[in-house]
Amino acid sequence: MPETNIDRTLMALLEADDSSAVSAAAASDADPEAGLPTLGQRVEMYIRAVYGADAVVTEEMRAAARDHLLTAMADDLAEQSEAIAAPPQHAAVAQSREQVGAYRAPASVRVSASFERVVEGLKRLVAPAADIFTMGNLRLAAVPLAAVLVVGSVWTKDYLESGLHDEAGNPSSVAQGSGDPSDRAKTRSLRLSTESTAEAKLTAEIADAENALGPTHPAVAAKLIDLAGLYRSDRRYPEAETLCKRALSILRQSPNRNDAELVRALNELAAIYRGEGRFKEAEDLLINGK
Amino acid sequence: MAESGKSPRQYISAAAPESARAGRLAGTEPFQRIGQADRLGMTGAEFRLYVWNSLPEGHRTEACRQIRMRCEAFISSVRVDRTQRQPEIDRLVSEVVAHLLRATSVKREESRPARAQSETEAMPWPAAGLTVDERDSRKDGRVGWMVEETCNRQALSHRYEDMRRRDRGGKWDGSGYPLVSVDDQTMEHLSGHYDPAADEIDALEAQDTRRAWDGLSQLAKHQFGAEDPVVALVQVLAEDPDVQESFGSQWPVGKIVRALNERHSGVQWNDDLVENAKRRLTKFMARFKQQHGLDAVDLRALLARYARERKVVTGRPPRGN
Repeated sequence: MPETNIDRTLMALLEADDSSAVSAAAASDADPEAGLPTLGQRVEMYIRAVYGADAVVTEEMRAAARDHLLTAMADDLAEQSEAIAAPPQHAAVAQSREQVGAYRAPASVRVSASFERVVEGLKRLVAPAADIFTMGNLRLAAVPLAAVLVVGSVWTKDYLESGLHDEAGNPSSVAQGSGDPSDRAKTRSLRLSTESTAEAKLTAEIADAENALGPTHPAVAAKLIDLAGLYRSDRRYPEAETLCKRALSILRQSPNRNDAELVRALNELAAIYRGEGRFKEAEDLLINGK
Repeated sequence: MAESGKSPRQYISAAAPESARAGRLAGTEPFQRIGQADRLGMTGAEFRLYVWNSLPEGHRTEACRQIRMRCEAFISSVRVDRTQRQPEIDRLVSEVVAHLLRATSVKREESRPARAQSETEAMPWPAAGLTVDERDSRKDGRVGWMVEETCNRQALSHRYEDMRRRDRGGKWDGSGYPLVSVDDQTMEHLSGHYDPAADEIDALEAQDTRRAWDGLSQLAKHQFGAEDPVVALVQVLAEDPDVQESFGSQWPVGKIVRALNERHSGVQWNDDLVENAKRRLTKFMARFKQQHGLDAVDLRALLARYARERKVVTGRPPRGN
């Protein structure tokens, strides 16, 4: 490829050496920063650590190590910049990305990792208390931790029970309803009622959007995805799948691309496949979009 | 084991940036919780690399042995297919080592901390109850600390995730579904708008150059602040064809001044201002190259990767990742 002006300028800039600045900077630096190894030294360390001290080192190995290390260094730089900038949308973006995926880890790992995350969350929650209560090897952080768990469980119980009673403390209409003694059945009944209301509302919204904007408008697709999600939560997979495929079709044919909705539709359809145990189709969908 | 009889583990786990509040971004925190609040002015990653570099060769070999053992245990725990186990272990080890060796040193001019009076004074080992033994690696607390820092369960999960991301374009978070960095091209594939001819027109080399400029601009912002004249200077160099046309061993200062005045009407640019920005920029780059032992080609590659990683980290839509 012929060298362009933009490339030539870049290389001239990067090759520019301010030797006086370098020596002054080096002289003014104490050990800590000068103590970081150069890229060449890192490559040697990497090779020794990964392949062993006795390995016969080829140029290909050296080039691969250099490449791997440069990528890792860039990653470090990016994280440092991110730590300073810390844009507020980072978490939201990460969450939205998390919804798109192609690989499902073994169940044991998922459980283990979830447990670790819960523990980490609790650790962070009680970290200030842990610093205060740490005495020698005895970590009294367990005390506030236990308190948090107890209070949480009591609150959860109260919250659940409050759903079955009115403000005066009498059993609510749902709890009184059919004379069935099972609260669980009544709660389920309440949930189904809520779902049917939501379904009716979403169906009406879809009809309105179709009338106002036409059946192939992306706004219709968004509503279809919402309704598909509702059906999926109620295990009505065939209906959910039909809606989701229609939404995908609308979004793919739309002249104005809406990436976020497209991702949402793909994710929803994959979730439906997963719910039906059609893992291969879910994987194909998420990897290839088919 | 420390001389005091206390297990060093409790200090180590508390100090590990990998386990700190911000997860993967926590590696940038100084090792405050080890008891020496920023006395060396290093991030966690820098400190780990600094310690690694200061270990005797035999200690490093022992640490590598232990790192490999931890990786083997981790891969066993994720039930990788038996035939794939050894390659996965090797790659996880390489990922861990690359992560350990990745530290870069970039600090904003105004935030450079006061240096410790001496290295010995600044080192946190005595305060953490760790013994330093230059002769016997098994008795040296730094080796155990290093292994725990780089190979605790969470750190290994992250490295494994990095591996998978590299392989499959997805991110494994250990809980089911990986993150996928969806770039424009993928979205074009998915939405049926993909035009393969566009790829040929937009050559890889040209993309890399643009990324490198982007990386340099971001690095300058990181170093000097977004409003600094150096950042404006880099942007003009990256974008103005007239300036690029005349750029060589001598900088076309007059053209740069004119271009800057056209772009930034609020500031009265002159030769002195540009010369000053130029001096600070070249000094910074020379220093950065020297600190990390990079030549111009390495630095270009690093900047291009940095721009790409930065887009992934911040979640902004990539422009051809």
